[in-house]
Amino acid sequence: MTAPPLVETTTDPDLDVVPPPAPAGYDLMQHRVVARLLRSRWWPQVLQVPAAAVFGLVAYQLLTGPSSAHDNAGTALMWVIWWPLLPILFVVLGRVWCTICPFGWLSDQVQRLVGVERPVPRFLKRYGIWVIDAQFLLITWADHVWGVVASPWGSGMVLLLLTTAVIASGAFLQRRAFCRYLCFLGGLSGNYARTGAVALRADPEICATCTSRAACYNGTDTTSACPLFTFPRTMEDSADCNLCASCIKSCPNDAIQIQVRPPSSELWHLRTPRLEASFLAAAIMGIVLIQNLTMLSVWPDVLDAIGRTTGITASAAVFTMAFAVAVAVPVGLVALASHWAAGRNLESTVVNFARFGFALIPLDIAGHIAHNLFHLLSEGKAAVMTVLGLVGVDGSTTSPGVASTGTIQVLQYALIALGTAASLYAARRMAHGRYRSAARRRSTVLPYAAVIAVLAVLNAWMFALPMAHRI
Amino acid sequence: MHRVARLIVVPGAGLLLALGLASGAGADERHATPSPSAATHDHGEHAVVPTPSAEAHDHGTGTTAPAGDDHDDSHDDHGTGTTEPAGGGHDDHGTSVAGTGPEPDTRLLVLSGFAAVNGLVLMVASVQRSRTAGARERRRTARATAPPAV
Repeated sequence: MTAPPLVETTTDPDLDVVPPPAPAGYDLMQHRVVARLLRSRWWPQVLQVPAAAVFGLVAYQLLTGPSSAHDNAGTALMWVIWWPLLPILFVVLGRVWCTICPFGWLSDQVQRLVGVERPVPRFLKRYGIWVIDAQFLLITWADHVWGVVASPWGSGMVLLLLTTAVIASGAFLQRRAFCRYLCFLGGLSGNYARTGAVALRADPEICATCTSRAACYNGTDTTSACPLFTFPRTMEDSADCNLCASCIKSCPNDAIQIQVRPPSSELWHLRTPRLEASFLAAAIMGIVLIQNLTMLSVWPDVLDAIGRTTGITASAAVFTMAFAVAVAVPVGLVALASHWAAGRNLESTVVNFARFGFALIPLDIAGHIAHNLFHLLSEGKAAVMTVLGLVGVDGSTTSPGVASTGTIQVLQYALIALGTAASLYAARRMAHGRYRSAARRRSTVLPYAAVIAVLAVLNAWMFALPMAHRI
Repeated sequence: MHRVARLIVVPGAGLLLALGLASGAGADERHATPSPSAATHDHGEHAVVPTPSAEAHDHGTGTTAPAGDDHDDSHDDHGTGTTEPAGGGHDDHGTSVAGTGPEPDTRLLVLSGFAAVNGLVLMVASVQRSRTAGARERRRTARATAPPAV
């Protein structure tokens, strides 16, 4: 179905091929309110309907509203409020946004009306994440070259392109194939969801006695199949679970649990880490770096320096070079660390990259949240006023933010420190779960710890500099 | 591998083309002309003075950015310009400028194009759905009668 795992069986006595299973956390389904909510036919519609309504407003504003990003409620809602809140949601509840996402809902409706329900092409199953990786880089690049975020019309175009892709996918392919294999935000949220504090898992003992023909995966007459093609009985990570609770409703044995776990703990219990997901983790760090860099006062100097050094005058070409370098730096550093570790832990560079690249995810999220926290807290009030302006409330405000610069910076540094600590801890736990000898563990953790430290310092340095607003 | 390349390159090129067409005009105008909103886009710390484009992008210290910079103006001289030492915090932010967007006729054309493409997709799917009803039913039956998952 998907690319084969990189970690094979081995005769190496110092190697634990299968990391220890994640301990079962506290089951939220034991709470009557949670269990009733998730089993209710109103879940997730109760959140999908308002999300779709807000999405409609955002799209309408972006496509027909004021051309100025500052005055456009769509831009304010999308880039100053929704986008910064999203990664926080991933850490708390995993990929739950995907279950209320209007695009997923649209896909379901199209499928219900005209769905041909063809099986997902093998190519997408195998290389979907690489397509997502490429899309993510492409969209970020396009944003900077054409100013998509700064242009309401440009943001509206992104939504329209996504709408068309979702309609095509919903019309021809099974389930939510777009969300699983093509959505760049789905790829991002899948990676971030690995750090989520809640995880849906099936009770293996109950599943061993199940005779329901995988109702949790295939659905029943009254409940839909798993939209993201995940079989709860064999799932080991939360990357492809959006907590839609279809499996909870279909399971005749009440075997599905919503477990509370320490954030990021999934990273060191992964049995089959995949290179493409690990690559995305490193690339996201590059994207966070370039997003920060382009909003700094030193950015024009950086561009000028590149232009002077290379003799290139076209701004798009100069930016492309800077973008390529920014993305290549974390990817290259992780590759370098993997190569260094490979010489000492007797595994290949690719296996090391696939496994330990995941350690970057907590720092990714911390950098991502810290960057967007600036926009949320320093422009949040202005954004709310812009939205309130739609209903006639006076939008003028003396200060656009809800927190002072000092407060925001303290929060940003705290987040980076937390992310760094979580990344270092994840790398350590991964090495300890995999190798038995202290020397092998140490020589594996060391290079990755160095990379994490370098990236943390880079992030911290950027948050010390003045940054531009988004709207 | 050719299929891999095609599946990445074709939609990627389409995406870039569409984004470029859609926001290119607006972006060019944004970079070249003074946007009314840019001049009034004050975050509460700067005087609201309508100025020509170069000044409009000078955020913070009042220093005038050299006109004709060949990089994206939306990133021009953020924050404190060149006179404030680094590490001064976030308290002197720049103004992102916004484009004027395409003309109403162009907007209508683009939106109609999207509507037409989506309509076509739905129509083709609708026809195929009726043709493939048997295959879908067979798949459904196979799932229902399959042995329990092991």
